[in-house]
Parts: sequence; C-alpha cells; structure tokens
Amino acid sequence: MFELTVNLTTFVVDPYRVRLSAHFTSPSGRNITVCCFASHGQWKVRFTPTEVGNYSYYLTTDEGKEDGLSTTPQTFTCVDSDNRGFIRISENNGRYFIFDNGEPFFLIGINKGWIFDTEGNRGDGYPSETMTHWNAERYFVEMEAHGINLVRVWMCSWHLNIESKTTKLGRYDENEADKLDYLLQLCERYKVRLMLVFLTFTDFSSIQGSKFNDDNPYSSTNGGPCNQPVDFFTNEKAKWYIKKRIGYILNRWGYSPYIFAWELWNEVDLVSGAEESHWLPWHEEIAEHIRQHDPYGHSITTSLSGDKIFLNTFRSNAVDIVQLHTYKEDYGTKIAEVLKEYLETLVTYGKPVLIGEFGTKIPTQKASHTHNGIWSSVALGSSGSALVWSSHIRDDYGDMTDEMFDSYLSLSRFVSDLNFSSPNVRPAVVSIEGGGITAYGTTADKLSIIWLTGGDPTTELKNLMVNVSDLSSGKIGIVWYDDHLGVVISMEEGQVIGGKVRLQAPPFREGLALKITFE
Amino acid sequence: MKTIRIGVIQVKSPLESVSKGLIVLALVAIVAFSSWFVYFQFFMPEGEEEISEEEVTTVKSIDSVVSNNFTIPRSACLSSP
Repeated sequence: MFELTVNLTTFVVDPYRVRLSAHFTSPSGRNITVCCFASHGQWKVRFTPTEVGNYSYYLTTDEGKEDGLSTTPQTFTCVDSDNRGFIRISENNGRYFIFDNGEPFFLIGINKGWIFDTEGNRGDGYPSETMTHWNAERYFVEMEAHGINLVRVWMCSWHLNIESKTTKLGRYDENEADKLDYLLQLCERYKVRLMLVFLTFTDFSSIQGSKFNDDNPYSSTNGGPCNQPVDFFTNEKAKWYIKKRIGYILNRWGYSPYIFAWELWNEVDLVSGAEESHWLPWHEEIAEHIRQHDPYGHSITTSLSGDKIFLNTFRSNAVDIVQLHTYKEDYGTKIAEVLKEYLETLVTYGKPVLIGEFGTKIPTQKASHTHNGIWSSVALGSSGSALVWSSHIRDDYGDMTDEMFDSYLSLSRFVSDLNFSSPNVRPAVVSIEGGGITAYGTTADKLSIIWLTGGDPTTELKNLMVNVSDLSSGKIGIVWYDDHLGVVISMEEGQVIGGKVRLQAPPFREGLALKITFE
Repeated sequence: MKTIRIGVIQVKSPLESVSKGLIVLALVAIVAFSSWFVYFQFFMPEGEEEISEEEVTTVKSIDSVVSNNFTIPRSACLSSP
C-alpha cells in the first residue's frame, strides 16, 4: 500500500470534509483518483498500485474551484510481487470468486463479530496497548493454522465504533479507526480476508435493549435526526451522514485487497418498524454511492435475520453476494438438509451465495453441527464454507472449539485446489447403494465434488457403491478424502461411459468426500 | 414684542452621540441574534447547516507531503499493460 501523509493549513470547520485528492497515473496511462482521510491532525492518502512500473501522482484541493491548490507531480515505482490482488466475482461463473491474478478464491470463513471486545468492557475506551497485546491475534494464528481465510467482523456501538454519540455525527473516533488499521494488519499478516459489516440492527432496534436511544448518534435522543429507527432509511440528513461515514471508510480502508466485501447491514429486517420497502431503496442508493467512490470495486452484500428470504433484496443490483443466516438449534447433523433446501433455490440467482451465519447453542451439537454445516455448504454449491457463529463474550453461542477448528482444517485441505470458475456448474447427480448414507455434490465441466454423510461413528462401512451421472465422458481422476482428517485415503483412475460412473467407496465411518477431475 | 421660537439648535457633545449610537447598535444586535436563534431552534430545516456546501473546510496551503515508500510491491495484475 502506498501512503501519503499530508500536512495542511486549513480554515478548519470540519477536518473530515477537507477536499484533498490524489491523482495517480499508472504505467499504462490509467488515471485513478482517491480521496484523503483525516487522522490525528494530519491527512492521509492510501493507494494500492496494480501495475508494475512508474506511477506519477499529484494532489489537489477543492478541485474545480478558483482557490483550489495543486502540487507538482511526484513518482514512485511499483515492483512485481506474488500478491494475488483483490477478490472479485468470476466473470466465467458468477457464483464463485477469483483473485485479480485469476486464481480461485474459495472462502473458508467464520464469524468473529467483535473480535476486539474484552470481558467486562464494552469496547468503548480500553487503551490501545490492551488492544495490541490482547488475544485478537490468537484468533488469527488459529485461523491461519486451520485454513480459515475469511472473518466476518462488525462495526457497531460496542466495536470499531468510529461514529458515536460521543463523537457526534460526522466526526470520527480515530482511536477506534486505528483498531481497524490494526485488524487489517492482522489480516494481511495471516492471509485472512475481512468481511466488514457497517451497521447492525442491534443499534436500531428495541429487540436487544434500547441501544437506539442509549448509544446511537442517529437517534434524536442523542441529537441525531431520527425519531424512530426506521427513519434512518428515509431521513435525508441521516443518509447524508451515513454516506459521509462510508466515504471515510472507503478512503481509509478501501485500498486493501484484504477487504473481501462491504456488508451494509447485519440482519436489516430486524430494524424496528422496517419493511423491505424501507431498506431496499436505501441499499440501492448507498450501493451506488459506494460504487462511485470505491476505485477498487469491492463486492457489496447485506444480510437478513435467520431463515429470512426477501427475493427483491437478493435480486437487487445493490447486492453482489446473496447472504443467508440460519439457526436451527436442535438440528445437529440435519443442518445439511436445511442448507440443501435453501441453496438449491438461492444459487439460481446467478450470484455468489454465502451462508453468513449459522450455529447452535447446544454444546453437545456444536462440533457436528459445524462440521456438517461447512461441508454441506461447499458440496451444495455455495461460494465457500458457511460461516459459523462464534463469540467469546455477549451471547451463549460460545467460542470456537478445537473440534470446530479441525473441521475447518479438513475442509480447507479438500478445497485447496478447487476451481469452479467455469460455466455450467450444477448439482451433482448421485445415488448410493446401501448404508443409509446421504450424498451432496456439485458438478462442473472439469470437476465434481461429492460429500457423503450419515455414517455411524462406531461402525465401519464397507463396499458402499456410489453412482454418479451427468458427467462428461472420458478418463477421470478419483480422489477419496477423509472428511474429518482432511487427508487423502486413496486415489485411482476411472472411465466415465455414457455420462455415468460407478465407484466403490473405501471403508469409512461417519463421512467421506470425493473429488472427480476430468482430463 | 412677541417672540416667536422658530427652532432650537441643540448642540450635543461628541461623547453623548457615541453612547446613543452604541445603544442602537446593541439593540440591533440583540434583535438580530434573537431572530437567528429562534430560526435556528424552531424553523431551520433538518440538516441544512451541516449539509450546506458553504460549510466545507477550505485548505489554505499544502505544507508537506511525505510518502511511506518510493518502491511498492504491486497488488496484482489487475490491468497490466
């Protein structure tokens, strides 16, 4: 990341409205303009170059006005690297992601909504030394060690709360902003992408306490413009301020390829009094604002509460990634059937589908629920694993356990070489002979993955036959995985004749994964 | 002889004129402030003050520009020539 630190003399009314822009010209002649952000009495510009060679740049203030200023052009050199770039929706198959360099990005993710939050502290004022030495980093160590490449984190009244009733609207808490700088440093260090949530219903609802009146700067009780939470979607002053806040976010953190996506709302339908007719126009207006001001084109998503599907929201151009949350408390291993029902419908929209939250509070079911949720979501054509909910404080779902981390590790090994960025991805056609086993799978032109589940942990299944059809005829490679250990059990070659193949599974107990590749 | 007073020529001291002028000015200021205060409190449309383009901070001078590095690894081959 290329960063400029600028000292200005201003007639200061609002440091967050200084119109300072940097204009870059790439080696190929492409012009990119990025805006500054205020930080601790200075102004900074962050820019991510994507071409090798010499860049030139200059700064302007109040561009277009008579009293605008301009600096003399300067240069810097961009050298080659093995960085993979920003993550984008694949042009070949709009249901999956790729990096700028063309490599697939198959996301393996978890929720850690308030990763900096500490016991007995609402996150609003603990000193920076606590943050930098606290345990946030241990999650990143564990995530990297278990193949997790995505974490979903919230900005809310108790976490990364850059605009609060203390700062007042339009002003930002730069110590909170510094924490997000640190979070992105951790992301980069441990190769974990960030799905950053801008707003949550919790701050606009009476469902969980009275945060709207107690903590929310948009509430009229705190001097804001909204008498009711739902006013946030229509009040022009509120929209002006949230656009300003998002502009600050884009200017400060939009440079980062480690931002996977901007999530406008967590579970927006739970905002008190809100209907789709309220939030959908708001999403369209704000998404347009982001696309105008994010030169890197990060994807945009939003979410609805558990098991809610609002078709117009999912289909809207404002939403690049369809996201579903689902909580089935006593479903244990049956979560796969729940996800199958949802995903079979949602993938038909032609957008990436992500199970953004799922989980259970029942301690004895957490491991199996998580294992089956993440494996089934991948097998059923999601753009990556479902994101299990985990929290070390504030609710009853509890933190990630070793067993949950191990399931993620086994899945990450299985998907490490998957590439679905080709057209014609479809549900696999599979039948099992015997064993009480259920199969879930996805097939593309050159790849098919199938996950078998439902075995008894105490009984070894032998001689199970797996029939797969709707395949391209010809030679195939067959790899059998242990879905708990993530290790290859056996590899063999085969032949698809008439679009069908009959395979004998190696002995297994609970589950098994199968990968078929085509020559 | 009847004397008809056709007018009085009153000569003021300069100090007295200034005092009266200040009182008038103070009254005008009080009326103006009261009018603005009443408008601000009760009649100004929401967001007018903050959203106004006139409120934008202006930059008087760019005093220094410091870059973190002169050699940056590229992000990726987004649009390489």
